Amino acid sequence: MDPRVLDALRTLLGAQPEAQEAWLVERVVLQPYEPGSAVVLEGQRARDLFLLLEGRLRIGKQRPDKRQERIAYLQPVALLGLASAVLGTAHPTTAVAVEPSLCLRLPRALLRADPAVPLSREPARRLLQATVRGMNAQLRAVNARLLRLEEPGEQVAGAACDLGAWSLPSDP
Amino acid sequence: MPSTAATLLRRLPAAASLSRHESARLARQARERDLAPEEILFRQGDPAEHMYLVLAGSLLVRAVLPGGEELTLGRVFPGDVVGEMGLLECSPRSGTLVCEREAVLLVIDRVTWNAMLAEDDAIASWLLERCAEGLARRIGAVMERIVAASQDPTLLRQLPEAPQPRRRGLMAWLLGPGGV
Repeated sequence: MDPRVLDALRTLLGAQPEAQEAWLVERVVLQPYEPGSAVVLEGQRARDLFLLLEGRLRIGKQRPDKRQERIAYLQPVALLGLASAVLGTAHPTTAVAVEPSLCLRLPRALLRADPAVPLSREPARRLLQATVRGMNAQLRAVNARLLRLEEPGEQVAGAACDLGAWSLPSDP
Repeated sequence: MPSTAATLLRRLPAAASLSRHESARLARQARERDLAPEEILFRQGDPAEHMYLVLAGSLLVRAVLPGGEELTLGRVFPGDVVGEMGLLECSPRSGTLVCEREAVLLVIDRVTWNAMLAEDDAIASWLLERCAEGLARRIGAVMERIVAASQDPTLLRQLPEAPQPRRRGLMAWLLGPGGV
């Protein structure tokens, strides 16, 4: 097993009993991305959520004229694909690697405890808690982006906090 | 006789995944608060000691611009949890919450929340699911607004009427294949 998997799980969910960690390790995948490759595509139904461990991702959303509106950049350690994973909907944005990147891919099913699998209960709650923290960071980042549209001459700090190192596009 | 909060809580579509005992326990452990239109729940920068479950009405999320003017960032609806970050990360309020339509809230303080996390997995997980669902909808609405305003800046100040949350879809998923 790649030791980075366990490190990533501990970063995300904290230390857990060995059996619980082993159960999780079997269900997650470390996934590398080359520059230009997409981690998630706008409109694609969410099956997983992602923890960005290395590299940098550009988050964009398609405008009516088909051009991409840059929403933010995502830096380690940050969660991605949360809203659509929670709701089971299509991804609202596209995330593309802008440098060699590494993500931990977690199936969205892990967000829900399986009554038949006692080991799933605590990880589900911890993952949900991490997801809420990550989504709050994202909400702050997109709110900051919105406010920057209002004040084009102003510098608005990117939302950088635990599990949600989002930053704003540096160019208009 | 059940409290107003308990009655309103059971009426939330999302509360279908709570048992009658769990919803009664949540209503008992939390405190009810009523808000009149324009009443402020909390202000940006305030220290955070409570989180809130919206049972009825609606609230607006506002942020202060560098020039001191306020911009409305979004709306919260029944079933949404707000103010949770103060309890999860001990951070000050990142926005101002003002009542739009007469609202009823359940107020959960830090001690109660920590006790729920430690001892009441069903209610803690249910509240986290409400947080996640509300955040998902608000993030999506802001992104749509960014795209619209980047093409037509006059749209920036128009807060779109948000669509009703997809309660049934999420509920079906959370309850699993055997759920109602």
